[in-house]
Amino acid sequence: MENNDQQERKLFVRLNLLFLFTFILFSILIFRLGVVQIVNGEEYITQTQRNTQRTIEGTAPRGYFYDRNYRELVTNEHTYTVTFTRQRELDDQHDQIAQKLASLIEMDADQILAEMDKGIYLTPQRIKTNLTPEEMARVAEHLDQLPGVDIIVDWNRKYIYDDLFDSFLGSVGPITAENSDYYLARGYRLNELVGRSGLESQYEEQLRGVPSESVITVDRGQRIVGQPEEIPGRRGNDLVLTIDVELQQAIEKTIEQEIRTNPNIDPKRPDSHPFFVAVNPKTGEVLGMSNNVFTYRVGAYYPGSTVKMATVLAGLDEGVISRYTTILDRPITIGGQTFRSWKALGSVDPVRALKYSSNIFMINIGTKLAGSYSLSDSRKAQTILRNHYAQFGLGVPTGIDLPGESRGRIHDEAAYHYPGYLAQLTFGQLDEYTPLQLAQYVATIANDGYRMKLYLVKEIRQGTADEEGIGKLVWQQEPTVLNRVSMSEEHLRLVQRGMEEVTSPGGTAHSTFGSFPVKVAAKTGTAQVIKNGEIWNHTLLVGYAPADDPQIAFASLVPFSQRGQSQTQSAAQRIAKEILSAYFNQQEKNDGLDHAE
Amino acid sequence: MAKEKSIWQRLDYGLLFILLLLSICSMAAIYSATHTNTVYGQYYFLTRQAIWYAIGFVALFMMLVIDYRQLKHLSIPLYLLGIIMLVLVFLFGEESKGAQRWLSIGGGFNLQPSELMKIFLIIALAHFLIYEQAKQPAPSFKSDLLLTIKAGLITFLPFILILRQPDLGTSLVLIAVLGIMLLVAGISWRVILLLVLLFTSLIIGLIFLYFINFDLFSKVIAAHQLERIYGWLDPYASPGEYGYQLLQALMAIGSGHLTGKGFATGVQARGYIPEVHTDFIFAVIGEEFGFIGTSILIALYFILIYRLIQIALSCNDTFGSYIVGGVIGLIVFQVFQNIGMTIGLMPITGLALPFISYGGSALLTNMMAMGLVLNVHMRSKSSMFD
Repeated sequence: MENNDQQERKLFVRLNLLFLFTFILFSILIFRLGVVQIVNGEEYITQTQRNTQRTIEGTAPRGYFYDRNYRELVTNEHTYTVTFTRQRELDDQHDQIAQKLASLIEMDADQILAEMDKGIYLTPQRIKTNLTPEEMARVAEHLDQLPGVDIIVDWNRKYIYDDLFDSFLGSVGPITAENSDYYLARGYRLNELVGRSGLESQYEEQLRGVPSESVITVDRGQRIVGQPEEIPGRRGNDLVLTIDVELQQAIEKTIEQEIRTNPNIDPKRPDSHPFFVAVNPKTGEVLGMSNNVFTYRVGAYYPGSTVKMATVLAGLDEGVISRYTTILDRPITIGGQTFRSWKALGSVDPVRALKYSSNIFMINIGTKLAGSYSLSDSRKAQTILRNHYAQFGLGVPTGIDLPGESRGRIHDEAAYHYPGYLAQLTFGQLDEYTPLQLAQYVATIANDGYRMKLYLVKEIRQGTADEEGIGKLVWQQEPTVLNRVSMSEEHLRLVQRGMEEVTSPGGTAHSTFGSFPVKVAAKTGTAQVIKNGEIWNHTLLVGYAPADDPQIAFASLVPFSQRGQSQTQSAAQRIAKEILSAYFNQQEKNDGLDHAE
Repeated sequence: MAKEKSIWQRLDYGLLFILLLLSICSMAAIYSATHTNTVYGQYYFLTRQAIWYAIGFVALFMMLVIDYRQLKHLSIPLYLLGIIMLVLVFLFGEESKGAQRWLSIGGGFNLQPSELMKIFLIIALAHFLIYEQAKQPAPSFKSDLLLTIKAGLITFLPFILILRQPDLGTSLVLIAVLGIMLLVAGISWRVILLLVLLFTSLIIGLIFLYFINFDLFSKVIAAHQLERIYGWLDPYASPGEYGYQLLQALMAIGSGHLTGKGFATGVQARGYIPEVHTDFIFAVIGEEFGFIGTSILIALYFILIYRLIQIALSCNDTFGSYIVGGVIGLIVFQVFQNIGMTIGLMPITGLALPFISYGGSALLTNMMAMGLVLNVHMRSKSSMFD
């Protein structure tokens, strides 16, 4: 019995030991689980997500463009694109997939294969965009036999007014190899479409939408597990432009007509197409301009006599002439070169010099600036003139919100330091400017000497979700004074009067604007150029209206529009009149509507 | 004689309740692990596990029919039956997934003799131990050593047969059962110390062999066994299936964090561990129920073991105590090995998590083991008032 007790006691001890042993083992498990789940848990969570989550990004619709009255200019339309996503597992099936796809869409298998092989692993590569509904249907039907192939929605630009203003709206295209680093650094995907030129490029950051994303969870075989998590995309911000669709249409229509009917204009040379720029002189808003990039970049043209306001103001400001200075307009010879006005004008003062367009009065200012002793070196005088011109935006950037603005061509090289060139500079036959610069110049005169930064985008608004209506204001362009010219108000008034005289009886533009319902202040110009050994003329007209309260300042320039001397109404004046008529007719109509409301 | 209580009154409802809770955990985890299965469908494995549980409970109650003390007389025939079946498997067994474990018994049913062998061995060892101890009322170091060697031989025969299938996991279970039963049987500490020393020096010897004479080492340890060790020691560097499984299991369990991702929402375990509803079911629980869930499950096992210890203690029959001790060894080893392998504490072996993993044979064995324990409990209670 004692033995039995001992036995039982032993069993009791051993079973308790076993219990302790179990307790220790399970404690080890709990402890280890604490390390794995609590201490390292976060790390494992991120690892799992890397392991199991794939993000498939959709495409993002870009922001719209509106005109100044919130009329849609550019919107989006969705199209279908067939894509292929490279995956290691599919590497040896490219041929079959291409063959199969070629039987479904209008595209060669070889081409398809080439596009497929261009792709980056796990990034959808566009094989064919703008699928027809039939192609779309056929591919969609066979998607299960086409691993890696998918149909995505792409957003294409929809141009409400066709090619209206398209030179400045710019284009959209894929990211190219040269600038891929730039875009990748900014979080773009390589298959995104970006602004390539014009406003699309200038305002890329604003226009770019937020792409929709679907986060899918996949298992080891890349099979989708569970429901994808959809993150909706958002359209990029909309741009409200300063241009007025009706004015722009009038500009483009008038210019097209001129190209069609003027035998002197070569339709194939956009740098010699007519130019027209209309701005609001008080704000710097561009109301419309010729749909031609040469309006603001690359191209530069002699301003001819349109520069004379600046020359007169330079003379007045420097004190070499006064409002009472009178000279006799007759041919003069400088440095062996004889200069004359378009005809002998007799006695001219500053106002008459503008009204009748006296070259001699301008040359006189030039020589006075140079000083009687230093006629042989006109550099100093040229510099003084250019400093004054630049105050109006001639030869300097206008500040326009477009990429690659030209600052014109300034001929201040040593070869042009001779007095003859000084004379040419004074009446616009030396330095060359863009039509846009001419518009800013005349707008600055109209705006009593305040040079406004020119701009095309006046507001940035949030893209609305429902694709209807105008979104919330994000940013607004405040009119910006770039500088106030150094000339006194009195001098500016004098020049403004001279410009008003130009359209008055006897003035060089009276025949065009004499009977115009709105008083126009203007300055004509004819710049001589040699083309193919012949003398041709650029014809120009700059001005603003109404003269007493300017709403629109404009520059009209028709390169190579006349051959030799001609006294018929210049093409530039014809175009300007046509466009201004359209503009003021429209204003009147709008006013009528406003009153009716 | 005191009033004979009915069989229903003498059942241990606490233990049955724990089993019920474990069956709920099992079915939840299996549903979660397999509900996205496209081949068999959403409820296939869940339904089958439920049926297995039903069969398991029936087997459990069937175990209560005969008094466990009668098993003494059956211990040798059962042991021999087990050995014969294992030999039959060795000769004619069905091969599946590179191992020969199944015996077709006709009618589309397969038997896994190694599972039954666990129960038979517990009974055999319990009987052997009380028999030997009765012969030797005052054990010495020498007699205990002899006892250990004899018990070792009894275990070694099925061990080697199962190891050759190959099924390392189950064969190790037999060793664990032997060890725990020897401990409970109260063999001398010096023998236990000797066994521990032997085991330790065996491990150290193998490690030395690995570094000194790899050729000889690779004759002892097969390449695929070594791969398990590599995968366990450094899953990140080991490209093999074992390293991969451990890594995915760790990620699944770890990403469960404190509270888990929620029922049937985990993707890591389900998506990345093949056949996760069987041996790696713990990864699903860890991922979806977090540290709280895994702790509760382990606590449940701990309460189960506590209950078994109580039964073993309250039983005034050493045969019964030894049987319960063997069952404790069976459960504790499987739980520790299975959970341990999913969290990198143990090398990966093909062992199911008792009561949780999908699979009929293992569940049936464990339920039968529980039936044995309940039988012991039932009969010892009444005998206390004899």
